[in-house]
Amino acid sequence: MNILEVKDLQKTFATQIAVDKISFQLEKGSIFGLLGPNGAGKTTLIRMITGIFYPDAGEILFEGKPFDPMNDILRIGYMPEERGLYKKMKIGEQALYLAQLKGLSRSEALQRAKEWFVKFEMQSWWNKKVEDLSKGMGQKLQFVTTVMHAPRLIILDEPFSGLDPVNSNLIKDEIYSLARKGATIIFSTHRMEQVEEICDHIILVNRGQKILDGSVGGVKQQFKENLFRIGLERPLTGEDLKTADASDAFTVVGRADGQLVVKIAEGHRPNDVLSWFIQKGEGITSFVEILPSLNDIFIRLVEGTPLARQFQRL
Amino acid sequence: MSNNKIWLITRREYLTRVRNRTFLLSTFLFPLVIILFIAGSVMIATQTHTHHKIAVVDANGYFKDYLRSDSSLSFDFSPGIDTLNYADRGNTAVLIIPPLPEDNVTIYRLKFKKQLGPAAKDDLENRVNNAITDHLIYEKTSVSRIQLDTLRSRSKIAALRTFDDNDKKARASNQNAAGAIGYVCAILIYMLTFIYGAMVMRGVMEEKTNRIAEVVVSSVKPFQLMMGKITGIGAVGLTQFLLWIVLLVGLSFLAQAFIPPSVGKEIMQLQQANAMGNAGNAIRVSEGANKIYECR
Repeated sequence: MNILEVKDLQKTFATQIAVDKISFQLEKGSIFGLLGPNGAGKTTLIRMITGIFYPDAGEILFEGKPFDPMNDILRIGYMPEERGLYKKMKIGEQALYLAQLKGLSRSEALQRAKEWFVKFEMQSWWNKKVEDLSKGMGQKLQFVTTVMHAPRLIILDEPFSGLDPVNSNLIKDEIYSLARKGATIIFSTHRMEQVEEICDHIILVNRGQKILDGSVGGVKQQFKENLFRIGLERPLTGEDLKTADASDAFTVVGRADGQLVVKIAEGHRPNDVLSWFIQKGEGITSFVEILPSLNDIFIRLVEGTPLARQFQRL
Repeated sequence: MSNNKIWLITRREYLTRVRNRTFLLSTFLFPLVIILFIAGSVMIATQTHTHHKIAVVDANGYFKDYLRSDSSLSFDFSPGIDTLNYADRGNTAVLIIPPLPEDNVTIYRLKFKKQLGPAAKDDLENRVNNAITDHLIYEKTSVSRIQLDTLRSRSKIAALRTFDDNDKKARASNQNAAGAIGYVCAILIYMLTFIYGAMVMRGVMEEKTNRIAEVVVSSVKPFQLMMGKITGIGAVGLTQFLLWIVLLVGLSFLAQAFIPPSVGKEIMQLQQANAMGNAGNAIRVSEGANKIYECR
């Protein structure tokens, strides 16, 4: 079942189309990557899903029903990219306050805050003020306040920025754990290696439009260039390579770490490459397909797009 | 749910501000500052005594006999004094009185090197008017100057006291005190409206700069956030006002306990004398007017 369905969502500011007819669906319990360069319209899209902005056109369905900002926002947890907490307020009080704003009773909020503070080893922070915390500590607190009310949909905008590897792993493990428990996570970031590692499904937004939608594996398959890496028992000589180039099935495009990188020609299969080497009597130690990284795909799709779209007119 | 959220925001706004050190300091120091300010201004008013010596160039010839000098204003009628040399002779101003025909209003002038305050200016004007009245009474009636002065001093025998008759039981009203309290309250309300209005604005700014606005607005409606902020900060203002009233009442009781009874009695007497003085002035003016009327 889809927890969120966005249909032809559109938002226009004075002279700029921030979000241009974007549609996607989110399966319950999935981890969804929302990608795009700066100024692509990701934050505007998120703000419409969290009820901060009203869309100009289009429809949002939350758990199969039209999105009702008054009630549905209580089941959404949002951690914006620009972190925000009351600097002068004590951390414990702040966690309770934000959880109560999300509809928890004070006793329930207190119980959950204690559980999360123990889990993240933050018990000693309870009476400290936010201004006394480091950036990473503030980040952990922000994450806790986002998920304390056990939301069905969690939106995390750059959740790992400012965190050391240990705390990054801690948050990552929690994201997996929340997804296992049935929460759906929208994860917005520029760090592609994290998206590859964490997300099941991605969409790429550029200039307010969706330009890519699919599973991480599916997207990589879509953009593959038929490149394979072959490890051989005996390093090939120049003469061998000339013979290899004469083959119709593939071309040698480079060498990496003592292995050959070959590109399979259109209409041929990997089996053709393997047969060629077997027929030559070469011992094959490895044969791996080289898939493009999301980073490469992102750059390929987005490169050449102006970073700031303020000059784009309606 | 909606009211509950407004209440939560109100509570946070109220508690964070009331627990703030600035709030405690301003609440407890403000009455002290006000008391010190009043005491200071009274002290300055009683201790600083400005004396003005005014040269008089009189074309009528009779002001010398009627303009009365005292410790605050004194008059110099030396011969040969004029607008050029009055300062050299130690005067701070020169009063030029042209001939005053009885059937017309004539302008007389004051040129000064040292400006007279509003009170001294009023005082001078009264003295000139009194001198004219005295001169007319003396000239047009058979009353001698000694008789005139004696009548003046003897006529200070009545003092007015007002009573508020709106309640079942008539009670003494103190219009000056009521006026002063009203004036102070108006200034306080004006100031507090500005101060607490600015505080609401600063609160909104704080949320924008702390970037928490986005987190909060993803949980509540902007209307609820603003309403909670206004009611919370308004409640802080009312608390402060209430504390000031309690403090001022408490301090005034404390002050009464520390003032010896003899000093209190002296103050009462001074107040009564002041009231008598005002009444005396009123009698003198009406008496003068009657005399002039009789003359005509």
